[in-house]
Amino acid sequence: MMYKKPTAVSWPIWKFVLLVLLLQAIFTFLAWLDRSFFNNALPTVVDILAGSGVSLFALWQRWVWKRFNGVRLRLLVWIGNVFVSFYLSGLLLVGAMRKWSFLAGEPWSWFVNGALLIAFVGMWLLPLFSFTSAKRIHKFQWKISGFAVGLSGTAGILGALFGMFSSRHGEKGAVIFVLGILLSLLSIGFAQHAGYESWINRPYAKENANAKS
Amino acid sequence: MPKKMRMQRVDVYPSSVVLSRCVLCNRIVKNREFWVSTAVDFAVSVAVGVAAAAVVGMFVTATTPLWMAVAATAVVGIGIGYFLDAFEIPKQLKQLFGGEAK
Repeated sequence: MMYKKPTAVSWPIWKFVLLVLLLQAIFTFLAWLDRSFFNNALPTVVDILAGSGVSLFALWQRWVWKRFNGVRLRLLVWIGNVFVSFYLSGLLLVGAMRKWSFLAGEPWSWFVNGALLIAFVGMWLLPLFSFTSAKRIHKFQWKISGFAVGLSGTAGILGALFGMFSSRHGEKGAVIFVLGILLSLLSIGFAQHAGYESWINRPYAKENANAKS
Repeated sequence: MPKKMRMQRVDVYPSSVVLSRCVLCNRIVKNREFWVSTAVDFAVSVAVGVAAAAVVGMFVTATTPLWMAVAATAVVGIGIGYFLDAFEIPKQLKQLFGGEAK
């Protein structure tokens, strides 16, 4: 069976280095903005690590591609994919949790963030326990995407207008509230999508399915 | 029998006078500050929207559900828009184009 070359491997090295530098620049810029927003040094480290995580993933794919082949290669590439999906969804979750911590305060933020964490882990592990439910939720995600297409052109503009006018009128709380909702939805949705995709693309999945049928 | 109807005197003003007395026109239509402010806000928001879509487009793959891409674009747009205004970029642009910033 032909195995598709990962993007991180098929790209020339200059393109790869450019991408890594660009990602680092974006995440460092976000870290700088984030720090001025929340006045907290810890997220800066997390944001800079975010760029490093994606770079690490790409390096892993290249390293694995040169040294392994066959089933081992498929397994190691799959591990890399799961790692980067988990990493990115985790970053979204951390973003959402920080927004709710800011809004809800010490006792209540534990409940909200606890529920978010349980939903996040549950969505990642759902295919293991009930593949049918995971498939149904994944289909639902695509169904609601039909409605979202109508907003695709204007989402960025509406977001920018909301951000600008909130800043102008000193409504920092409103921005954090909306970002909290959007990031919570994104982290849970992405966790479900990545968990489902990782499960159906796991090594031996097709062989097992054929053997059973 | 009603009294004899008398013609009422009606003042007719030239259009320039009418326009100069129109409050709505003076506040909005002929107000350069309003137009510069509106145009700058609109242009900045469109530019930010395009930039947000470009940033999200780098990370979105064909298998990602579209609603996530739309929500992520909105998140990035809110973030960039908030910080642009916090650093008074639209205000500086308005001053640059001749509209007095609020």
